[in-house]
Amino acid sequence: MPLTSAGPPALALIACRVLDLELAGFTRGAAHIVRCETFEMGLHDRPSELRSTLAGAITRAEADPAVECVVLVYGLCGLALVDLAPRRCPIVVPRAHDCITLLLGSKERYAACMREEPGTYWYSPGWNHGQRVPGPEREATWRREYTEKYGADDAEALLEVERETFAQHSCAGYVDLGLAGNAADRDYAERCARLLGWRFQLHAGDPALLRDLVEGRWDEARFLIVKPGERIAHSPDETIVRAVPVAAPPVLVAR
Amino acid sequence: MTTLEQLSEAISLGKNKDARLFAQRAIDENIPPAQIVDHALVPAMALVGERFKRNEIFVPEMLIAARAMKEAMTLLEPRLIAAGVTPKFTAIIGTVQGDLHDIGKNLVATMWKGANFRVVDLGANVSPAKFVAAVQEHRPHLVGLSALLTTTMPAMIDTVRAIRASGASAVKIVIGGAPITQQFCEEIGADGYAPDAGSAVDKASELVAAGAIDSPP
Repeated sequence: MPLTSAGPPALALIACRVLDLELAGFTRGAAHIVRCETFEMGLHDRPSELRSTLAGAITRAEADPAVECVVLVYGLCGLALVDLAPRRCPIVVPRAHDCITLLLGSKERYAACMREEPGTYWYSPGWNHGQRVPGPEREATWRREYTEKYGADDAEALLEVERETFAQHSCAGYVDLGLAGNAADRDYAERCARLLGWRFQLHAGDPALLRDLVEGRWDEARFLIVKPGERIAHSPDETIVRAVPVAAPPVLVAR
Repeated sequence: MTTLEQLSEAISLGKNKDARLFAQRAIDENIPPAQIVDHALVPAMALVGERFKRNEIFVPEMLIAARAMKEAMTLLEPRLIAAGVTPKFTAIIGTVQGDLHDIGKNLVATMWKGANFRVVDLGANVSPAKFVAAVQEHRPHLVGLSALLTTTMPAMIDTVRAIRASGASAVKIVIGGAPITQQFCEEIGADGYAPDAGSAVDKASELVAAGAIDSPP
């Protein structure tokens, strides 16, 4: 369902709260967005739960007669999007592995950044505020949660495993989309980098992909439109996602 | 409950101190260390993997269980060596290029050592060329590839192709990692998929046995 001269179709947005701030800028006053549901960040750690959460949201959106099209403001997110299938309205998804692609503006740029510095751990306002990024607050938050759940001994062991994981990283990459309050978030990422002994790298954000996603400019190179009767499948190449008939067998990758 | 059952339970529940206690008790009861690994550690980690798949436990619980398993292994490893249990098979393992995540890979490496494989760990962010060079140098029976990110799954495809193209056709390739599936394994022509560290042991044993390889390829 491409953008017509009459404007974008009536949309239901289903989004991750990690992009709350960025989305607010693009959706304020947008009459074509008739409903929006957001979900907690970090659900990609539990892909099956994220998948069922999104499936429920899609069902609710399709039950709303005002909705013509459902937009998932998500990347592939640990394969959580795989097998989601619309019944009435087309679903639009960006060809993206995760939200960092949406902040950087393209999957090509994301891939180039990761090729250049595979040790990058990404920071953004959403991730900073959710205390999900490596830094002083995250450790304090998780120590409290782990201690409550597993006891002090296991909590320290888990934090040690985390530190080992982060030890493989060498760079804090902050994506700057020029939002209000951005300087504080950038400074926080820089402070985390210093604390962890990492390099700090500032990446200029590019809002085009996110803006076009919510404004209905969906070209095939950047977006996948999944029609009723189809489901989302993973494509382990540069297209990232593909639509296949609901009952389709796996498509083999050429060996 | 037998000592091995108690050890298995301690590991699957992530009880670190109990794991050490029951591993020591099993040793004191003169149970051969290889048997302790096969009948307590392997099933415990397989159970942990199954619970994870069913969303009954999450990553922290799995890590705590892994820690308990490693605790038992620190007692068992020197005894495996002292018992003259020489590895019959060699495995190479690594996380594919662009991917720095190694917790799962390390866990599988530990489990394979426990199951009497000689394990050459290439680390994380390993290029296809480095895998091929290691295959040529060590002539393994098995190569394990790990990827945590969907962004690095194409590197897994490239690595499988590079190993096959290098002429090491007999080497078995087993893959794993959070986004990896049996379907992906079939698509890219790997020999096996292991959804968790416990089943990685079963899969490795099954593949080398099926290959009936007694001498390196």
